[in-house]
Amino acid sequence: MRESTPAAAWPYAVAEEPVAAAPGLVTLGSEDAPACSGEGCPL
Amino acid sequence: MRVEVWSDIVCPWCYLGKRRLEKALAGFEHAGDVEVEWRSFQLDPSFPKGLGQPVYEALARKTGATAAQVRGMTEHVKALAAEEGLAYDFDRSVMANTFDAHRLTHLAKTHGIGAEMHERLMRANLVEGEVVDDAETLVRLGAEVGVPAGEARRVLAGDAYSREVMEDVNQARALGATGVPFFVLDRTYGISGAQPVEAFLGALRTAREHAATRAG
Repeated sequence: MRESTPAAAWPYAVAEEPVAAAPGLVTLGSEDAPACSGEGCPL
Repeated sequence: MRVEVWSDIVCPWCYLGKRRLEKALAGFEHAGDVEVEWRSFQLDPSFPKGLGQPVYEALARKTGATAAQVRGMTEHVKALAAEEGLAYDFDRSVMANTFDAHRLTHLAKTHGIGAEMHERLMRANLVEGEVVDDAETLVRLGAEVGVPAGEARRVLAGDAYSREVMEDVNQARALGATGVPFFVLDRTYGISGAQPVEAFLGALRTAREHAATRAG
């Protein structure tokens, strides 16, 4: 099942702060599964 | 196998992703070898504590949509959540600053009930309309899963576990997370978002094969 990500956004925002990068992870799963970010949550 | 999950208590996709991961684990042949750790993440550290703003009101204000349009916006995630047995009630949900709730979860971890606390907090916010940045609400919710009320009050009155919450947040960013829910398996594999159950099950099996290959 693939999830769509409509443009409507949850009203959140987060300030970005620099952090040291950790070793890269191998990415699994679908790249467009819905997730919330500092820009909001796709609804 | 170690599965770390970064999520925020107010995140509807996080709760849905949690259920799907749990369903995947129920179908995973080696679930007994899996340790799941719930990690803190704040979608909005700057949200004012105690504002008590209803979610629909906040959505309407941000998007300029009408009340009917705002309700329509949430139908998709509500329907998907309902398929997983989660009855989201955005009519009652109140936006909150989740920092103290995450600190409470870290306290609960010291009692071995961090997972139960995280589940209780998400349910409280997304299903029951509880105000999860109110101290006495957090004390009560903590007591329901076994966190001593006196300890919870002391933690919430001070700044205990603030460093632990921030470390979780910084770890997520260091690992390349751009959103939550974010799942990391054995610090080797990353899977982002409310994936289908089959995707989580596939990830668990991939991580298991990788660990077996390294051990062999």
